[in-house]
Amino acid sequence: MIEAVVVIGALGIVFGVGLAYASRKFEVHVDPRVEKISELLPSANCGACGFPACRELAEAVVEDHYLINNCKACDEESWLEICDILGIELGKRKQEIALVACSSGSVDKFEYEGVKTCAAADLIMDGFKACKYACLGFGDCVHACPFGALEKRGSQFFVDFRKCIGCGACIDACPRGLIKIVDKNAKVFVRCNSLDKGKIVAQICETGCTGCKQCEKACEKEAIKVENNLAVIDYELCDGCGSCIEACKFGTIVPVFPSEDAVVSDSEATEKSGC
Amino acid sequence: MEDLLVIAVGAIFVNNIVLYWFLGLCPFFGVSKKTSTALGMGSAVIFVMTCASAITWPIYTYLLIPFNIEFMRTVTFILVIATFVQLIEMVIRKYKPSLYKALGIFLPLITTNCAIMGVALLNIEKGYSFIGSVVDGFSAGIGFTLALLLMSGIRERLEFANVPRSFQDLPIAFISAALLALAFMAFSGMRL
Repeated sequence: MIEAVVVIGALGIVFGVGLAYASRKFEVHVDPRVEKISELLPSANCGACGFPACRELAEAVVEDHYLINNCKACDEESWLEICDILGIELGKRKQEIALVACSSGSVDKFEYEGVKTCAAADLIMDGFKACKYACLGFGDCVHACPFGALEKRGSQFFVDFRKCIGCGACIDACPRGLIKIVDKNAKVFVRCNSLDKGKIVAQICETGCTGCKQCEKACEKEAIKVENNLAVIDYELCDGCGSCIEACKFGTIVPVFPSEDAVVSDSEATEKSGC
Repeated sequence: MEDLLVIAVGAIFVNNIVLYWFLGLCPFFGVSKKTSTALGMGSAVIFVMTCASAITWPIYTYLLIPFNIEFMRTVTFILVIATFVQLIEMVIRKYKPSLYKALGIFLPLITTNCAIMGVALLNIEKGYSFIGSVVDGFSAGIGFTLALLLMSGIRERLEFANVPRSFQDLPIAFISAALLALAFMAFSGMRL
């Protein structure tokens, strides 16, 4: 009995001292800032910054401070704190969100019975929608979003502004390229991506952009241009007056409600946002 | 020499540490998604197993037996292996940061890997000599790596297979592992 205690105790002490010595000898110097920064980063590992994990961005940021610009997921407070740790001054951050540029108004051209993903449906005859630009609605984007910001209601997809940080993970997931990253302060949005001629669009979709140029005429700031039969908004010029929304006969241009205005309940706010 | 060969073949194929003893299943499923990481983990386990066998045998023979405290072997081996893995982790972190990153959480997990412990205890149970123990430890490591490599090959292919949704990822891996173990059962018919 006593031998057991002595022998195991002695072994423990020998190993303990040995490890303590080894930890000194093989010590790896780690920049203490890496630890602090990686704690401040959101740990979402969304990959928007180009690094596979937040920790790796933290390691890279210590070397090249301005890489912190690549992180879109961290909130204002931690962002400023990180800048503080690094000892750099960066002005206000540009915040962006993703919006889905389709109102799902297109009719179907045939019945699709295949694998229920957008990527698969897109491979067959340009998709089953009459409009070859239209949203296929299986929600590949919803699965791709690391923040759960996308949600399908009815046939349309809604982006929750409080959750979306504009990382762009959904952009790669959409085989139709329908998701656009826009400035978070955007007031209006063209919810169509069709480059088809107006006549064709009018035949197959109730809410598609026909390129009628009514919005172009209505806009006093000349922020809307119709290019390739599709209205495009220049957010640098747009002041959000909303005259284009009234001018659009098809309801293609919709108002965007940023999170600050979202005083109503969660569901209503996203519903109203329309995108 | 012949004895050692028998021990080696036995440890690699017949009594494969994963597919026969069902030890070390955590890394077996955890790191078998990619062949490259499987190889890294495998080599780490080979190294740790060989050294653990080499260290635990003298400690058992020259320390526990003379004091008549063989019953403490489990506790002692835990102590020895834990210390040893810690040491290896430090060394790898210092001199091979890329390997350290690739192994990630699994290096510290080797500490609690029952395969290492299992081999050390089995060596004692089977009454191997020192050389026999080392060979057995090394071969068991090879057997572990072999199982890991086979599994990673299967799982890399499964990535492209059309697996029913409820079986995706881990469930299908379990089923594949079971079939693999069943196949390895054929080796137990070998007379050595």
